Amino acid sequence: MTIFRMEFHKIVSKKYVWIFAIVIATFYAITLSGSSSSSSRFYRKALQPVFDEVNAAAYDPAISSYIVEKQFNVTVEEIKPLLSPEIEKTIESYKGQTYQRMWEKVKDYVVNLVIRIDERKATIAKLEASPNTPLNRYLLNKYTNMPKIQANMTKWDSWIDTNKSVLPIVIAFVILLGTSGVFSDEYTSKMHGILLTCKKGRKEVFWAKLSASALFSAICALIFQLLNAIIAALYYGVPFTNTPLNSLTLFYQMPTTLSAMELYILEILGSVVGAVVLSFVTLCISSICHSNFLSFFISGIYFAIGFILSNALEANFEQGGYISRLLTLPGDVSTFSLMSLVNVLGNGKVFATANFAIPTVLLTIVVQAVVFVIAIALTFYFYNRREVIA
Amino acid sequence: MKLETHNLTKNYGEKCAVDNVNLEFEQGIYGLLGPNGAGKTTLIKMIVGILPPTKGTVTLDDTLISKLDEKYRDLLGYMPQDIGYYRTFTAKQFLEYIALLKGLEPKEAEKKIDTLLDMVGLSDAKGKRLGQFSGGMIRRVGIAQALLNDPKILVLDEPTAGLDPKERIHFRNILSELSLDRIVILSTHIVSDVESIAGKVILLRLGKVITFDTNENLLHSMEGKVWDATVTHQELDRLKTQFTIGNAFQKDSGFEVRIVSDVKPTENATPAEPSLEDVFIYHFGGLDYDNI
Repeated sequence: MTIFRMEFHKIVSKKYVWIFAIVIATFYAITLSGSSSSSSRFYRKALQPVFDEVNAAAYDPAISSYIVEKQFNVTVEEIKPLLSPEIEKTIESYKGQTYQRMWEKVKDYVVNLVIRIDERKATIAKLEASPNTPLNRYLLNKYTNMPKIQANMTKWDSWIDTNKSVLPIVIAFVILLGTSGVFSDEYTSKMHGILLTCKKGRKEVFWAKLSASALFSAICALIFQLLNAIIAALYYGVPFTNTPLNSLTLFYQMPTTLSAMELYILEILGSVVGAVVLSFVTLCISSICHSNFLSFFISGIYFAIGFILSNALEANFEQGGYISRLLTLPGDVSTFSLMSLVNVLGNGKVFATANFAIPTVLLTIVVQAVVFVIAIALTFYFYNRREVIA
Repeated sequence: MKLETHNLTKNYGEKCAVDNVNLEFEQGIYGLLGPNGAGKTTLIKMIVGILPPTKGTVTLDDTLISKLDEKYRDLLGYMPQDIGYYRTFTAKQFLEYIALLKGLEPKEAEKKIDTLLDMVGLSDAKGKRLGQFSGGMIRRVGIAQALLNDPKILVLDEPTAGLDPKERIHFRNILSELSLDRIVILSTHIVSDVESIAGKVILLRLGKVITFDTNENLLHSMEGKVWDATVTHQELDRLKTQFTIGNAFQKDSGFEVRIVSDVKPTENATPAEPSLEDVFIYHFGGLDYDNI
């Protein structure tokens, strides 16, 4: 038995944490299942064999110029003769209504891709003609170095989107439940006086509580990410290939050079690191509060503020996608944003002044690192310096 | 080993809970006596280092306890007045956890836990959850945890509250044995807890030390101030208004009373052998603590 194991045991032995976690996980699974569309899953899956042919068609100068000439308004009959016979062969195997809809889908994929390629060219041209500001230089660099856009035929949109808001909230809720009483429970049970007079009751207990909370939070984040991946795989299917992020509907205009797989892995990493930061902030609040509930409530407000700032304010800006403003910055650098990363990293957000332009995600990491260190320092101070009042 | 407090003061807002206390502890048992609200617990908490003083210091062999930090806590055994525990832990688990915090090796801890559980009479209940324990049993666990590291400085705040008379006697005997090579500070408002075992007694009132002396000297100082008398009911009522009455027993001949007074309270009063309780009554008897 070690102090760390005892502290970890104290956290995980709270039955209500697991009861809530199971209830929330079930609710989450049901919510996720309700949001998936079976028809879109079917077409994506059915057309996977002709993924390369669809991409090739959009990048074919003859086909793309034809689509542009027609102002992106083409019919299946017009485009059909221009496409690879492989596509026809694949679709031939489907009869009835599905056959026609599948052709419509292929047409949409190709036209959509041509639109995006065209928009990308236009954006680059516009940036080249714009004043040489740090922001324009940054954006031009990003857009010109982006990987080739592909047809949006993978399931990455759905996979990545699960991490946007609901999953971080679910993870945060369980973390708050588990860690909000780490210090305040000692005050409530009146163990504080005994702990602080034991040889190892100060530094060792403090670090053991921190490590146990960090491990609990990381495990929570990973369990929910795993659960999310299982549910997403069941409802959306596994993305058959990696794809540049700019190929996905959610991100195609964003200045990011990441691939969908990279973003998803970073989301998981951000979720774990953010969970640890959130747990340390909760510990700091717990070290001040004499009540578990109060600690839970205040920590919840801390997280909710980040969530609200990150989501609500964003919607009020037209350009909203990738520019961090002074008003949105508090939300962009919040613990929620680190746990989500869809907004700041997926959207390739950038914070620019007259002299420089930097990716917002760097600011998020720096701010959260500062929050992390301050939370540790304050927790240590409050735990050791708290007056034990009978 | 010498533990000292220097001008130790603790203020809560405008209220002074402990006022400029200077004490010196060496090997032996020290009884810290005072009525409720006298500042005993506050003083104890500052001595064990869990309550920062407003002013003053606590030193062990001339070194600040805050500087000694872990070294000081390694020597310390503390049982708080309001003892904390984890309801879901068994007595054994709880003591194992505290042993871990006190830095005991697992094998050493196991032996010590068995000995202490036996000593406090909880061997049969060691597998029972603390949430199911009575108040007296919890206090016994509290005593055991304080003794786990064989502390050289043992500080006990109201340790006998909730114990039955037999347990209290047993506990006093344990303390007597322990006091041979260590400092034992025993805070209580129950005079009989310290009367037979404390070498020195500290009387605390309104946060101030009013007396700090040996048991013998305190009793000596009371000679000629303690009286026994047999009085009628009317006389008793009159005496109550003029003197501090210790005990009053109704007998066939009237009331047999014990009076603490600098002067002979009544014609038929005879001098009596003073006890520590008389010292307590002499200093605190007339005070209305409800208004403090």
